[in-house]
Amino acid sequence: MAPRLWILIVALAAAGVAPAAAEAWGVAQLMAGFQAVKSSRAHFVERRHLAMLSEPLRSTGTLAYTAPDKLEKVTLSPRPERLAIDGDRVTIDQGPDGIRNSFALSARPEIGAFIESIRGMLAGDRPALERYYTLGLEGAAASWTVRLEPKDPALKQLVSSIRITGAAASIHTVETQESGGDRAELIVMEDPP
Amino acid sequence: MRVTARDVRAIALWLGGVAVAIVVVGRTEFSTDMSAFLPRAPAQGQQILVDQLRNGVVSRLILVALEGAEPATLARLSKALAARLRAAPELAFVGNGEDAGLAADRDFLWRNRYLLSPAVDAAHFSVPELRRALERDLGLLGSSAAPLIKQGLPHDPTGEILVLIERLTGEAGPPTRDGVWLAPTPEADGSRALLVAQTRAAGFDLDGQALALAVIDQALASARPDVPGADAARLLTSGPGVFAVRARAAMKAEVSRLSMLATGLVAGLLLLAYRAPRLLPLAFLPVASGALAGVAAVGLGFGYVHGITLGFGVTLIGEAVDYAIYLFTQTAPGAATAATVPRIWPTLRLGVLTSICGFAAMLFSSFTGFAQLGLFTIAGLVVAAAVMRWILPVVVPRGVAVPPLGRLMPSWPALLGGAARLRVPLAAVALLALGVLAAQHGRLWQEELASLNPVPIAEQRLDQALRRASGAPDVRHLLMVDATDQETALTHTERLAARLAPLIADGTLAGFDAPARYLPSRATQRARQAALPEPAVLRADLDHALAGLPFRAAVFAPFLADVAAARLQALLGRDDLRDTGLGLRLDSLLFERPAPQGGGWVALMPLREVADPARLAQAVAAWREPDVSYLDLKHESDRLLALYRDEALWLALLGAGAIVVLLAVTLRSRRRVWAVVAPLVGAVLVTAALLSLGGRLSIFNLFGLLLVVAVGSNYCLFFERLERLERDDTASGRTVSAVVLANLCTVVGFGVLAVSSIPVLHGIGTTVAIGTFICLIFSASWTPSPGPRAAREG
Repeated sequence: MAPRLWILIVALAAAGVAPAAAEAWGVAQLMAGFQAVKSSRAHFVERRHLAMLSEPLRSTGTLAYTAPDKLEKVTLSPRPERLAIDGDRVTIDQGPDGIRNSFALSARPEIGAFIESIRGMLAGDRPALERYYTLGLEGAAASWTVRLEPKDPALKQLVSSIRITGAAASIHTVETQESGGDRAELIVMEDPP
Repeated sequence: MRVTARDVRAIALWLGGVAVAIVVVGRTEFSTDMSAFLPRAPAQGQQILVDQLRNGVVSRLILVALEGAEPATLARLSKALAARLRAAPELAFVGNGEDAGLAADRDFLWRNRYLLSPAVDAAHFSVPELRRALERDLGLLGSSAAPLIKQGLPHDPTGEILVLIERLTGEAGPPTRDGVWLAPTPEADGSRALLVAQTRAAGFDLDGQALALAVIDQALASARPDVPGADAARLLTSGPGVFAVRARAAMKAEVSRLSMLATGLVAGLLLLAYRAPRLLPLAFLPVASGALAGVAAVGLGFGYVHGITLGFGVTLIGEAVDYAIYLFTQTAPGAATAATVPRIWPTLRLGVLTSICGFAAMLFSSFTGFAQLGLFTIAGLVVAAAVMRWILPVVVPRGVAVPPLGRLMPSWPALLGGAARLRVPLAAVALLALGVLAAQHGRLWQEELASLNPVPIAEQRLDQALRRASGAPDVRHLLMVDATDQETALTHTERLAARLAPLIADGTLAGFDAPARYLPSRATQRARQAALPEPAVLRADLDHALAGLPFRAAVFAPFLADVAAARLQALLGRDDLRDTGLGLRLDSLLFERPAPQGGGWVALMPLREVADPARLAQAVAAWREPDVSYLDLKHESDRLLALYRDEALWLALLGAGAIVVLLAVTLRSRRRVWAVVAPLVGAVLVTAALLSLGGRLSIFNLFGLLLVVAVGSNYCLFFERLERLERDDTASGRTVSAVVLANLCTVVGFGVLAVSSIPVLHGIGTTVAIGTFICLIFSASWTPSPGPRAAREG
């Protein structure tokens, strides 16, 4: 009886270990990849499809990330704007005749959630992402898609989902689907280091 | 000694009086409104100050801070606490940085934006202006700020709500984290969650304020279990109501604690002196009767008795304990007390009369509290003296063996002889004191009303820190507008806003708040309504302005509908602001003056960051608007204190003058008046000089000096009598014992008050304890030892 019991235990253990070994690449590995990147720069093109407008709004500019929590989005056209996130502090500066506003990220979940989706990915900060969203990962290291679904009902009123695609530790696109039907696509072209 | 019919009548009268007093006291209300110890203000600006202290929004503010835990924990605790407090009926408004606290305000602004926005005029909806607004909107939609404006845009393309919200939150609030106000603590690198609560109860309603504080405590206790890790968090509260409640509690606790201690010590002293426990309650009989009469008199005179009058007045008439001491110590063992009465009564009566002259000055004080104290002491002393004169001899027919204090000390004549040798040095000391006082001319008195503040310095600092951190109003500079009615007041402040604009531009001040921001005058509302275009015109102009822009057709239909509705909407009135934070703000800025103060309406415009008060005052004067006044509340309050101090000085001088006249009339001898007055003057000078060396003098010191005169005059009178009448050593020894014992009791009783942390108790306690002792020395030195003097004169 004893030998047979041993076989059973070994067989069960093997059955438990085998699937884990097959899933060598996952959220943890994706996050670890991003964590290794301490700073990055990119150009972006953003297209916003708004229900109230008959044509999409297109804007271009640059993105700069510095670990662990600094993100700067500088829009160059059509209207200059600098959006800087440093920790919990967000500053929007639209130049002399625009809005200049500084507020806490956490105080404005409608903006905060969106910012945290990109910054959380860049930082490889899974808890930050999971604070607002449930994570879904498809694909492999060479080409992956992360789907973020808001957890908070209030946030669901604003954003229905965010889809981020990329390869290894770089983001290629961020597509935000708003609950009202509006949609924004951010195409990111990473600068060579 | 037989009990005569006259004694029976006296006892009956006394018992009847006690019964009546008990009935009156039973019907008297007791108040604890601390502002009774703030002056009834003579000038109008000062009345505003007192009103603000008593009832303004500022006085109804409770600043709450949570600290001592992780920032995230504090934030969650702040939310849990605020949610509970918002449900509490005792609090009208609770802000902690969450939107929830502002929802009603935002809703009011949103619904009425076309009547409230200062941008609305005829040109605002012209084609070029609409076009400019739409282009700006397009820019915002492409920017990161899009989520902030997108929802409202179809209703509000001209951005009125942005203007209104920015004006509302323009005054920088505290930093926010996790959706609530969270500021760093001044000391270490900790954090503090901040909340601002406004009580429904007025600032002077201390029971209401205490209840609100209790509600906050309870809410926190019930919120703690819901937030993990919140047990470590500490609650700090501050604000005028909080201070008043704490001051009242401290006052109550200290007055009862200290007066119990003083009573115990005095009782111990008397026990030691008399060695007769059964005399002890009798010694307190005049005081007790006097206190009862005092409360009844104040109740009848003022309609209510302040708690402090009660606690403090009893101490003030502690002088009456001396009466029994004079009687008992001056009666030889076994002798009839009634026989002593004629001997000491004239002196004692004069003593009581001089005390009354001193206290009568307080009757005319602008501080209701001090006026009450004046009446209390006068009634109390008269009754106490009467009880000593007519009741004690009946109750204690025969003198008991009272060992003269001399047993414990060198013989009295020797002591007095020694004191007499001090006369010249003491006179020199008095002159020196006069010099010290003269040298400090101009720096002698405390100049700030804050010096009377019963709040400990540490709490004042905390309050300042919380106030700065939470951006709560700390009103100091104000424009005050007087008007016959609300509408006139509002239109006037609207005109003043235009007048202030250039002063803001040149940096004299940073900005202002005005009631018309929350409730524009009806004229302005009508003008704004008239500036809104007719629906057909607006539709055509909007279409024109939209040409070539990518907005879809009919996106702005809600805008057209809202403007059309605003053209016809009923004008806003005060009721529309009910239950909003803005409504509370309006109530503090626009109110009807009570009829006794002349009626009419008052509008206040708090000014922010006045950099150059002198320039502002000049500019306001140049407007030549008689209904507008510029108030610097700090300046006003300090001026008020100076005014009041002058009043107190005059009253004190008047009281002193009355005492001299009284003595002159009664004693009929310049030499005898001098013998009484000179030591008093010397003692007052030396006491004032000593106190001034320890820091600037307060009004409480002044009242203390008045008491020194009232109490010390008795010593002088007794010593003066001693000089004339007492010829044998035993009798004079008894007189000296009586005076020394009386002084010991006073020094102990008031010395105990001197340890109090409350300025009013500390100030009077120190002054009286030091002053009466010095007065004893002065009056003794002015009295040559009776033996030689008697021999010389005899």
